[in-house]
Amino acid sequence: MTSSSPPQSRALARHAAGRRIGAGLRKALLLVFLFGFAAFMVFPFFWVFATSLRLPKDSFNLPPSFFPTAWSWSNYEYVFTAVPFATFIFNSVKTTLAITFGQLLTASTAAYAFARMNFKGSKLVFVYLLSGLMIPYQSIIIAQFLMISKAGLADTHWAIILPYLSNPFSIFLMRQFMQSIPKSYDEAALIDGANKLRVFWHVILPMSVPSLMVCSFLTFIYQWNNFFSGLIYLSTQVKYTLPLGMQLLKGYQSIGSLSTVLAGVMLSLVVPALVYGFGQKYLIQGTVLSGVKS
Amino acid sequence: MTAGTHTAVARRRLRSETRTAYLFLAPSLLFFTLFVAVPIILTLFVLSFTNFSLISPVHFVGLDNFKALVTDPDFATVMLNTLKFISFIAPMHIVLGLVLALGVHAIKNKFLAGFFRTTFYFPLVVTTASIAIVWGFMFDFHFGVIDYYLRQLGIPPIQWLTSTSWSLLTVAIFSAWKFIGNAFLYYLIGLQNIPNSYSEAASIDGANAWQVFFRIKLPLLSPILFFVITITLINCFQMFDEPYFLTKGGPGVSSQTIAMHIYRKGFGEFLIGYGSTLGVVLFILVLAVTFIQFSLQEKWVSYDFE
Repeated sequence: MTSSSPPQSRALARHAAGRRIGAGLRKALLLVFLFGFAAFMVFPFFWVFATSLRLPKDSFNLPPSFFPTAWSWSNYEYVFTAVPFATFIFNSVKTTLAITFGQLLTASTAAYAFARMNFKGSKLVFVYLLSGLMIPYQSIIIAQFLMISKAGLADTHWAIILPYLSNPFSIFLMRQFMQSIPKSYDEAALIDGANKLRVFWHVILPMSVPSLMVCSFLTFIYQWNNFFSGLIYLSTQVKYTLPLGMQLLKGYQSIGSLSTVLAGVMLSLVVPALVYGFGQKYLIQGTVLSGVKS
Repeated sequence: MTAGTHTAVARRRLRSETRTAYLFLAPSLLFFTLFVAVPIILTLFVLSFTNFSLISPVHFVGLDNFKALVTDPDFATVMLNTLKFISFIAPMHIVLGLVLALGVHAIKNKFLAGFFRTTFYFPLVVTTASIAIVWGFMFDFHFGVIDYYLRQLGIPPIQWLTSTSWSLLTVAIFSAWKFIGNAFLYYLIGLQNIPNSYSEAASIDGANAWQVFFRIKLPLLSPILFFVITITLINCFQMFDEPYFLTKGGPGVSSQTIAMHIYRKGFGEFLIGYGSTLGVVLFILVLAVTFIQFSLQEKWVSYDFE
């Protein structure tokens, strides 16, 4: 802007510059706020990592550290001898995978029936199955416990697997997805003489993989973190899943090693972190779908 | 072909398709009926009307369990606790979650936005049992990180976990930290779904940032706002893990929730009848919120995205 320009436009320019500075300041404040909140969200993780590497005898010492000051990786080895940690991980992997794959099968077949077949009672059965979304698990836990004990399944992994094999949310999500697949695909296969089962297995299921992934990741994370049903049903230590095992490990605080407990915490975060890393896209999609459609 | 045989064929086809459909539905129906439907029916219509416990023979006792809710001194506290949890956690999720989402949405740098999104969402993914241990240590009165810094600042340290006046707030802080990523993410996706042209058009017409937010973005976000309110309420009703790990609901019952009360009565004191009645209360609360959501949704919420 030269001095020869009319005063009006100079004033305008000054105003614009002021706005730009204002915008810059606002942006800086926004970043300070977001970074501040981000620090609040992550500082526990830094503290866990730093403290998990301290010598056990120093583990309670203050001031706290958020970056490692020592590197005693032996705490990590000790986790496995202090409690049957490897067994806990194995039990968690086993039950989580059983539920994840089991509900994929039950939900995808049900979703296929709802999305692709005309049958009597279709609406009623849909409402019946979906009503599960409104039933809090803690409301039914006492009655369910009585039934499962009566069947002799208490303190077995069946007790924490079977109740989760029907998943209303997965049914709903997969049905929505299957309805969006053009009907011409199955009609072509049916004309070629395939029956419904073959159409489901060879045509619809492979095409529904994105929705299966979303359901799998959501179920996996939910079940990996599920503490409540293990608390109710499992009483033998070697059957414990990881969340229950963590409570056992926490007892080691009392023998004077905070670092061992926190090394266990670090190890327990590996699987969720990996799953999040690989399945972020699906987890976010699933979260969004659960919000948009309910 | 006459009309009669035509419909007969159609009917036969419907019947065979019905049979196939129910075969496909059988696994879900079986597991749902056995492990969810029968238990909720037992809870609602049988157990909650009995005095079932380990010591006495089972009798139907009519509405005694429901009357006992009034005389159970802990029940009122537990309900009040739920209200307190909601009054702390709901604003955190509903307002702070929205502020964070607006902030991250305004960040143009893709990497930075991704960093914030991951940071805010990650606590949601980690095992509550593990991360609650961490917060339990950090809130410790003697060796905890938080009280250490309070002492450094010359502020008297707080008995976060062991005083009746703080325990509930401590659990609420942990819960808000753990789950705020959920509300944040719903809002963020909602904001991304609003076409930029809307706010641009408004700015050109001379609307300032506040007007754009309150007149354009907020109404368009209303379905998500509504959903966040609903799930926040339902999650507060069902809260179990957070108080269980941090305070075991204590000291006393100062941070106990309905879900924990069910656990304590049913599995701690083996009061199966009364525990089931508490289950009915929880069920009704969740059902009520769900119905309110459904019936108000149409009145409040504007859905004109497309």
